[in-house]
Amino acid sequence: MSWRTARGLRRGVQAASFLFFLVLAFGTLQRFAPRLPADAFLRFDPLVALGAMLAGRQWLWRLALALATVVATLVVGRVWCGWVCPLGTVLEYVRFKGARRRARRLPPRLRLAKYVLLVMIVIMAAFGSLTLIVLDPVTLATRTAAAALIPTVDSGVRGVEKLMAHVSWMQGAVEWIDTTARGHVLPAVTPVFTQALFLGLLFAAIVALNLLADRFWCRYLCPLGALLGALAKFTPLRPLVGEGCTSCSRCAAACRLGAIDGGAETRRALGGPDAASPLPGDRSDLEVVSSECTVCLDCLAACPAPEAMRFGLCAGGGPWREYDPARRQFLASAGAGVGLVLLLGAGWWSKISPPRLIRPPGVTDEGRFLAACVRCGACLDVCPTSGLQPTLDEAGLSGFWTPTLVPRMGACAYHCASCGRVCPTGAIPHLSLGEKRRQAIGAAVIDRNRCLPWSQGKACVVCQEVCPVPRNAINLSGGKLVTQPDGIKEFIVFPSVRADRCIGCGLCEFSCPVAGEAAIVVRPASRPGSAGDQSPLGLRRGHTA
Amino acid sequence: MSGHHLTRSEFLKLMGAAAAGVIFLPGAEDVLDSLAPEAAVDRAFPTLSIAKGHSLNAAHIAAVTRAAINNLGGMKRFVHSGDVVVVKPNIYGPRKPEQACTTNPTVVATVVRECLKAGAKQVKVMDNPCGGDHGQSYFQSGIGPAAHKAGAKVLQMSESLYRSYVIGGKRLPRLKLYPDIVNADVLIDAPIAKDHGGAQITMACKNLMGCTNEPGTMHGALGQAIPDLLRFLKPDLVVLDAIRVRVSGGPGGTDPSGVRLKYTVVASTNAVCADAYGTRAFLGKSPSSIAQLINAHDMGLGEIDLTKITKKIVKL
Repeated sequence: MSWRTARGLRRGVQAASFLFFLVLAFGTLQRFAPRLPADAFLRFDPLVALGAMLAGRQWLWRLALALATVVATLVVGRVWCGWVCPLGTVLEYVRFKGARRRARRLPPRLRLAKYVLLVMIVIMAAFGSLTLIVLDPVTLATRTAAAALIPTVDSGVRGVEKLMAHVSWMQGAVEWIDTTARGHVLPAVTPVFTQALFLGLLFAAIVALNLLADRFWCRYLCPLGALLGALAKFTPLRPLVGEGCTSCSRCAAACRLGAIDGGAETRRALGGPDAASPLPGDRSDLEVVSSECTVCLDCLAACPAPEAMRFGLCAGGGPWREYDPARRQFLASAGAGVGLVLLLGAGWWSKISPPRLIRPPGVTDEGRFLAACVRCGACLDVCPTSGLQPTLDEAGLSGFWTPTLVPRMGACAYHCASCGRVCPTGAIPHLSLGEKRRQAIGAAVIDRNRCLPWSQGKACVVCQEVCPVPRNAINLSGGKLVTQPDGIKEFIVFPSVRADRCIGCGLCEFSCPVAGEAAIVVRPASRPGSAGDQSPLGLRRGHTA
Repeated sequence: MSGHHLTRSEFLKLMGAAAAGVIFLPGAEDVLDSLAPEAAVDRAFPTLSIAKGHSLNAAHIAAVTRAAINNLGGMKRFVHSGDVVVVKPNIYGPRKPEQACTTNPTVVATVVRECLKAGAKQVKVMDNPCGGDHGQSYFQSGIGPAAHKAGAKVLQMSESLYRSYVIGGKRLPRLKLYPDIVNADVLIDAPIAKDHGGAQITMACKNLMGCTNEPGTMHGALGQAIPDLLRFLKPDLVVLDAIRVRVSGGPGGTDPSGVRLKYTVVASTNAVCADAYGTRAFLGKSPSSIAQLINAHDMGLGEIDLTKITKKIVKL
């Protein structure tokens, strides 16, 4: 098998992996959900596993598959990055003219940044904080797919449908699209996310960084890449430059990670500034840096001399490079991580419970939740109403991008318990539908000054109409027939919430016909200390009452 | 290169022209739909045809449904060859048939089969559920699979197809409705009989609220908005499912203690009369205490005095 064929094989695997990622993102929306492993990519992610286990102080069997990635990396290097990672795939195929030229001007020491982020994430996790794990590429890709990509596609489909609706003979097609696709590959209910634009632009910015260098994120910023790179430094199997090398440097030009290092000769050949000191070595000055190599095989496929490059055994980690983290950088990053943990611990959320925060069903201890949630957004992806939204600061900045139920956007569907099933770390407990239906995630409160019957004597009962609990949690009182000035009869009843029955699903708040803020809103359940207590210092004032 | 290829600028101009054309197409607002003239009252048949059965066996429920329709003159009286029929069941949300929140799937399937037998070109089944999404509601209620098997086209109501209609009601000047329903040759209203906390009852009249995607505009004046909508949509046939009746906890409660077995199907040409009968017979309430029925009666939409309604009752 030639190296070109092998590279073709890699591209095939990469394409299949990316397709699988999309199938999971779109396929777990509704009815396929029970059949698909929605968190498959997250389970293979060692950074997610390490972070969640460190912060949660527990062994998670569900994430044991990450060991497979670790073993693979120890043997053949960062295959994850070159063959599997969905974000890496996007960044590999979005290329800009001139990126290669601009990349040569970037200082190699910038590659240190990813190690800094990695150390900060791990140290913070050790102190119980997962706030920075939002930078993990798999959580980033999953979250973006759930809260930006799917809503964008859906919005596009709806736009086309609106145009088609103008044309009479196309209306049947609109119905056909909705009937066949909604609830299967498109969301049944239009997904709307408060942060869709923010998440989309952020992703676009990461892609745009490719203007500066191919796979900029992977080279300089990716903390998972740093973790795998550290493991791959001493990997025994790697691409090697051999005897027949003519220093034509086509391999270096082909490498998208800039992982092929060379001395003055190479840099001159590539048109870059002269290097201060050429690397030692007698046959050739080209060398593949295993901690940066994604095993994409591009270099081997590009090499014109068949015997000059091979994939073989090599002991040792190669020479020390200016961007390898040393003790000094490690200590500085660790210090920064600890500092950030302490700073986050001094936020308002360490003293008072977040006032409007409603967590997914089954989450009872806010502190434990924050120490387990990796902010991946898999729950946002499966939520059939898109009621689960990523937080901005509703949970405090330490809980940035964790899921919260915003009932006005969508209720917690009574027939669904998907969020707990797809949660890779168990932050949202996996509950049966029956158990989930008994979880009170909040309690509805009626604002009588806005409620139509209470404030205006109008006949409205939507809250009672939609309440899904077996014995309705909306109590109707004072029902009477009223004759209005123009002779029309109306039956007026006055709703109130039976707190002992309400589970806080928020279907009433979602459906309330009052414009703007609903006249019935779900508040955190009124039990002592149901939220808060996320400070490492244990600062917390009283109860939520 | 031979032949003319579109340049980029030509292509953009063409697209611009097309977009402008689409934007200035006739707007989707205010579609006037003149109210259909009153159908002549057919003295040969009763207003209400009531069929009472005795079991939950599917074949038996189908027989009860057929009997109710046949005593009203059979489906051929309503559906003619080549007609497009819409059957509008009550698919409240993701509820199981035994929870008595959604129309019995066998009743719906039987109505669909009768329509096709009578020569209908197409039978569409749809509802806009208030307590969940289309897919889940259609599936859980069993209505989706049953109607599909019976030969109906089970449709999700597309948001982009709703259009605003002038209703001209006392409390409801206009409302967004689903054109398939408004334009159907025959509209069959197939509700389930349920108690309703705020609207007092939900049967044939209230069931029509599933034809809009803005039920919120009807709330605040339910008692009048329902008859306003009824006057506009005026179903040709009502098939009221009272196999299982929810007598308390309605419309969406799942408490089994609120369900009574009545094994009955009522067919009628008049939604108000069917509801008046159902209110008395299944919920034990007086029709003259129900706001939506009083107002409908005052508008001349139907009789609510049960002694003045012609009935035919059969027991199976």
